Amino acid sequence: MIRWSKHSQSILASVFIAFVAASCADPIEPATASFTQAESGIRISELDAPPVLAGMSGAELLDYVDSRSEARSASAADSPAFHRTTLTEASQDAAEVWIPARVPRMFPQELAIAITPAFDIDLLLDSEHAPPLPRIIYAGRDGSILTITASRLMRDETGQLAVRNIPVGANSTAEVEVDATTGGLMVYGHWLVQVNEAGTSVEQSWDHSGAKRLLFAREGMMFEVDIMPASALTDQQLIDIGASLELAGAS
Amino acid sequence: MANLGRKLALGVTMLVASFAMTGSQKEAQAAYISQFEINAYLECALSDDSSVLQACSCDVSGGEFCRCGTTCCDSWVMDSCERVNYYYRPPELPFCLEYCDYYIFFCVECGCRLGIET
Repeated sequence: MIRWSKHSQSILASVFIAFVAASCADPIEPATASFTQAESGIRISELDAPPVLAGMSGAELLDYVDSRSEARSASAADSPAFHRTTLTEASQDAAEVWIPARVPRMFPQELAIAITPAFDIDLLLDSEHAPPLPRIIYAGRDGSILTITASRLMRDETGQLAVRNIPVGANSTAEVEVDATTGGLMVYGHWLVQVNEAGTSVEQSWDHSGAKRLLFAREGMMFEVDIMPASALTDQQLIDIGASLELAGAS
Repeated sequence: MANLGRKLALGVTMLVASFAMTGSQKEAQAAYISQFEINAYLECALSDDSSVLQACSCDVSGGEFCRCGTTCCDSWVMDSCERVNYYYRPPELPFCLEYCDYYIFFCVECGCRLGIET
């Protein structure tokens, strides 16, 4: 029979109490940037894998991708998911196009395109009665891609901001200052799913260097400035681009 | 005799390699990844003439994803990848319920990155 000393019993009791306390504690709350709850409805949740693919085996994931692509192919011909134009055309035709006044030279305007989702695609936080806003994509001469996304902040029937719960990898966000009156959130990385050439193995991870996004809210709008890969622009360059966003034709 | 043995070994090696390559290609055909319906894009906006926009979508699909220098998307290829923005919103609700607005970057390894013609 095992005999426990008083000291051992004390330690065991402490461990037991700590274990019970941990078990009874609230589940881990997702990290929430302070500026987002009040101004944008953004919530950040740290996860180990992208939610839509969580728990899937490699074979299941490939089957899932197969089924999605088949469904899309079946409907794509008759109802394309988005309309694509040059940035110049979009600026002339669309009622509301948000573009940065300052963009580094490596992103020439002639290589920029605007993608406007079809009306029946719930792509952005748009109200039901307002047309979707175009998403602007700049093609960098070095192969990088800069994406500007503007969306209207939505509220529910009680006036509360709709929550956009963004899943991210661990330790991948930071609060930043866009300008003197606007706070923002920087998200470092994106989810990465790698399939080997034979299609026999799948790896999922959070790629910290793959991209970075600046998110901030201003005047009832949510803005996102995204660069891929992350190294193509410094944080400050991304912030400067975001701070210079304006309606096309406003200046 | 030794020379014959080396030739025989080389022949067997090439035969095995050709079977292996054929098998690999068949498996690659089965590994089908394409654009999703929400917002799949790796858009190529390349043009020789700046007044003309030549755009294409970099679909990553079975049998096509290892393209070495044949499409306008090639200069964008990092392996063969596409980026998808997930924004799931139930049709009956004005906003998403759980997680939404996140990017997944899907990549398929390609031998062409390693200088191997496929």
